[in-house]
Amino acid sequence: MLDDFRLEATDICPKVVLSQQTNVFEISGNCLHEDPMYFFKPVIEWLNEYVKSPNSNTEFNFFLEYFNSSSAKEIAEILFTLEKITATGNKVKVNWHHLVEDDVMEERGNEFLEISNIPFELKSVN
Amino acid sequence: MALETLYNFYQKLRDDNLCFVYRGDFSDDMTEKILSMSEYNLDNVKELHKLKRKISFLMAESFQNIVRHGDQQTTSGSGTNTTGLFFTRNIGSVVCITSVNLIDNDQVEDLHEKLISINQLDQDELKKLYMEILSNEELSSKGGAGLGLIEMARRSGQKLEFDFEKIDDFNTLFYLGIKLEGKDTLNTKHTPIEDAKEFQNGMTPKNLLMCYKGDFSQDSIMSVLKMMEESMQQQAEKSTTKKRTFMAMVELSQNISTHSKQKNSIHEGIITIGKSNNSYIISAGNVIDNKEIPSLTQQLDHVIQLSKDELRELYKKNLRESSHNGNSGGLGLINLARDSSEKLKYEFTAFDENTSFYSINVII
Repeated sequence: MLDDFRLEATDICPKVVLSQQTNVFEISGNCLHEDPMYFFKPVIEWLNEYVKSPNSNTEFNFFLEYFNSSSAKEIAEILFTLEKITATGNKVKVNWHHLVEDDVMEERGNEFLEISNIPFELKSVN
Repeated sequence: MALETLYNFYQKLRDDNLCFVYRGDFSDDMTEKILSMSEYNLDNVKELHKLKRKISFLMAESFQNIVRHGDQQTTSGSGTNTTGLFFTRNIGSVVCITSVNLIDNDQVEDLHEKLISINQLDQDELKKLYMEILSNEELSSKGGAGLGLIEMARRSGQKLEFDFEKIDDFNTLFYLGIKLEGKDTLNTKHTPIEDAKEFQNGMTPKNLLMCYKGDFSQDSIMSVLKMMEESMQQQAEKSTTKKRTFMAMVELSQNISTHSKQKNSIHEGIITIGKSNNSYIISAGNVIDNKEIPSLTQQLDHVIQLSKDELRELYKKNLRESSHNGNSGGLGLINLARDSSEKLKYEFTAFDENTSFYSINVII
């Protein structure tokens, strides 16, 4: 089992919880860092380890308020990394949460859905 | 030179480390962001380190002055609103801070007298007057005793600069300015009142809510953007419009932060945001090396001629090509083009022999 990876949210960086033990995977808040690669690098490294022997059922949750275009690339990278889980015969799914009235995050979620090769569900939250 | 184009603004502010002008809605929650924006910028100026606390105090006092009186506004014949304005500027080691707000015409005489009498007092006399008012409950509870003005005069150690400009039969614009200097010699070139007037006159007809020129590094620009987010929350537009506007401001600012030519190792540029009907108009500009113009022009022209559907497909294609090659494949420009309700407009203006001023306009 991998050690948990956790980061608290700031104004410009999201909260991150990656926990194999409790089977919780979550990125929420803002992704507005001008150099998101620096921020996401350890996240993607952790996931690259995780996908080698993942839990039998992984649900990855996004709940973002804002993200900038350079973070979009990193979010896509997370989706492509999670894809590797299917090769191990285990299940993986992405939930993209957005507030009901947040048309922008719904629209951006739909685009990720269209490029995603794994189950991807949009969930509107009250 | 009239302040008409973004380039006019930039030229006017060419030597400024920081210029921040705001004439949107005023609320107390913004004070903190204004202070952090100014602190990040003024940290770059050695001569001002000793004045930091003083500047922050005066800035807060000046801003809150408008918050208290800023809900008053009047509409001119041309349909543009005249409202409060907050203005701060740092050039070399000079800092100007000016508040502008509307007052009733019948308040002018009283306020004018108060200011004249405060300006005649020395530091000891100011302190004495301050204590007198504080200990006189009746006077201080009225709030009209001018405690704020006395504090500003005490803390700045300078004479208060002021002016009154009659707008119509009911309203007068009250300008109150302070000039601080990090060195001993007073630089007389910059006048807080005249400068604020010039911006008031340049920004009101175009309905510009905000103009920021300064350091675009993450920490200082984020406080500006967060402040504008706060400011827009009080406006009536659809939340989707505000969200797209905020995100466009982030993209444009981060473009400046990554691509502008450095001046004294600072990535600087200018951004303004204005309102027209139910749209927000964001203009951003910075100086770039001329050799970058051809590739930037090519990128811009490419996204400008694409339809919304084509832009969406291009966005997805670039997202898919997720090889970590260090650039985001123009995703920022693509999204700006997608979110803009009209075609993006851009311009290059020769700045000096090797550089040009690049400006881009987004309407949301």
